[in-house]
Amino acid sequence: MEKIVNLSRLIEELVKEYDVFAPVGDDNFSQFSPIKNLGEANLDLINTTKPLKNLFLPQSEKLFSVDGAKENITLEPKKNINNKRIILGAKACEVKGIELLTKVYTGGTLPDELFEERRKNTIIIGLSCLEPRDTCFCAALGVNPFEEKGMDLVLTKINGKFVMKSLNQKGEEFFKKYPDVFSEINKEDLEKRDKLKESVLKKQNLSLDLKEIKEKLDKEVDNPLWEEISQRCINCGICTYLCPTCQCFDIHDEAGKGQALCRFRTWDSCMFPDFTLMAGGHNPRGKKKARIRQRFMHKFSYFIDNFYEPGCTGCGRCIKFCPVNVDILEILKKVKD
Amino acid sequence: MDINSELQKKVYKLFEEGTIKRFIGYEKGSLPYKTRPCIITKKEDVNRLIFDQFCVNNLSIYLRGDLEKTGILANMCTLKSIVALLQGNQVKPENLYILAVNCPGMVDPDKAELSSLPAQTKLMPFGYKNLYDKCKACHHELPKIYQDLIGEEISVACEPVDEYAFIKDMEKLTQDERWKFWEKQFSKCIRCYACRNVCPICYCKECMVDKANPQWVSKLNQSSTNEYYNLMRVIHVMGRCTDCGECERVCPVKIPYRKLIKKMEKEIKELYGYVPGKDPKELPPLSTFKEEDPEKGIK
Ligand code: SF4
Ligand code: SF4
Ligand code: SF4
Ligand code: SF4
Repeated sequence: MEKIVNLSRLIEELVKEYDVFAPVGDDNFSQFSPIKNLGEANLDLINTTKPLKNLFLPQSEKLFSVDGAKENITLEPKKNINNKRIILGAKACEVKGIELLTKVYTGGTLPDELFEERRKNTIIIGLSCLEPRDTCFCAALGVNPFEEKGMDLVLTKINGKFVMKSLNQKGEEFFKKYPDVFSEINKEDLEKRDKLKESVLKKQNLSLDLKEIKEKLDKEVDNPLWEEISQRCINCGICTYLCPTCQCFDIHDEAGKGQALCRFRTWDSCMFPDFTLMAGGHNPRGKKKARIRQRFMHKFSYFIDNFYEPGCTGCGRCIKFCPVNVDILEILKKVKD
Repeated sequence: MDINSELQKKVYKLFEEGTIKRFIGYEKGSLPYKTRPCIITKKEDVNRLIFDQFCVNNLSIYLRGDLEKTGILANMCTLKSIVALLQGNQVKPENLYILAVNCPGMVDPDKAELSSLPAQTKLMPFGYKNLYDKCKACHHELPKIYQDLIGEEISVACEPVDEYAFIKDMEKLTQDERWKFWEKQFSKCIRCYACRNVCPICYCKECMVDKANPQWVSKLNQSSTNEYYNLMRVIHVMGRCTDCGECERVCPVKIPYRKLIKKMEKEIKELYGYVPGKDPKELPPLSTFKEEDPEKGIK
């Protein structure tokens, strides 16, 4: 079903029952944050600085605490306190990121409970992307600005109005539950939407032969490209921490003075030299070149081995924010040639 | 002769004469406004080198480690950082060939209308208003530590700016208001350490945040630990930082780092009458002491 939605009133209704998250901020800095009304959200952002990943895999997350000060040592596992929540305004590349993380975190025999529960408790209202950036290349990764996969409902902004379309049963129920906020859509609006879609898809139409790229990556382990990039890469955490699909974390135990010992996990990055540092002092990826190569191998070779698709959504954040212009798209093209 | 041919010719000669084995410069990036650092090791590669108004990276960070004879294209910011590196004994002057460039100021892509970017980026295609703030306050007096110089002399035809105006605004706030401001800023930090890795002054072999045993800084990402990291770093570069602005530029969450470092710079100037990045023979005030220092502890 699809109808015109009075978004402001819909949100008023939704916040009564759900935690509602949406892109908040400006061109300087933005992220998915809780909102109480439409005014707090910024649905015109192209994509947020911090990815949607943060709502499923927070940068730091307590797992349990051990209190040795009490008579008996007590172990308190961290409960998932997630209420039912709605994420509103997520673009296709963002949702694809969550799809890929879901494979990693819940695909095996031992699903990650914290992640799994968050995913289960989340309804995603997507947003068609009308203005891809010069760094976007989602189409090359099989996503596109109008992709609907992984969403429950999707919004498209046309002529200052929002069209809302349900994509599954969960989404369908919205139309029944909040009938007052919807109005019928007219033919003109629908035509306008289709035209918009066509023109956006025409702009964002890059294709990459990912199979060939994988073969070359696997074969040319000593491609001089890695050395060249590693000369200018400063090994920061930007490209991995802002990536909607980078998934690595480290586990730490810390206790403040007089406080219970806490075990938490916190993101880690394969770009950091101590990422692979072993207790005995050996570091299998001690060289920058090896670390740079790992980022590309993981996304475009190992991820395909494990999950049959690449671990990248083409969101372009790593291109936009890299301080020294390490451009993943440029590199993929170079690997191919 | 346009600046790129001048640059390429000179570097070619340096390789040919055997003066250098490596040259650190800039090359065209993957997007028109993303000119990037490059390191070349053969004279055949000199045609990669360019200089335009997007050469914002501070190249002095690539001088770390044991250097073979290295040439470097140094704009104002890079040059000032090299002064600081020389002061800290981080580079051997005998292995260094500095090719300075009269820098017209760099363009901030966030300010400029990039859609109107000319295909062949000429020098100075942009107005003064599009420059980085640090460039607007630049005095264009290159420290005389270079071996050669390219580019036309810059006649600074811009309105003079008070480089501390935004600091004075901050100083008007109460302590409480300032703390709230910074708490909010640091809560955005993702601890990617780009600000540290890009900083020429952050040359410690092991950074306090990486120290695991004993641990100095919590790995937990939260406002208080992020504050600790950021403030420690800023205090550590105080008096040596030359305001190259790289930490602020690279920060993906846009923490206004120059609001901190310029404050530090202003304090040092007022207390010691010292401005970093001018003379390699001087020593930064916090790295030295004098008999007549008012504090008793050090004597
Ligand atoms: S963001 Fe750029 S400089 Fe930082 S680690 Fe990634 S590729 Fe290297
Ligand atoms: S690798 Fe880069 S383009 Fe791909 S999903 Fe991650 S941040 Fe986006
Ligand atoms: S602290 Fe920032 S401005 Fe100062 S030298 Fe380091 S990177 Fe440059
Ligand atoms: S660059 Fe910004 S986000 Fe990264 S560690 Fe520094 S202050 Fe934090």
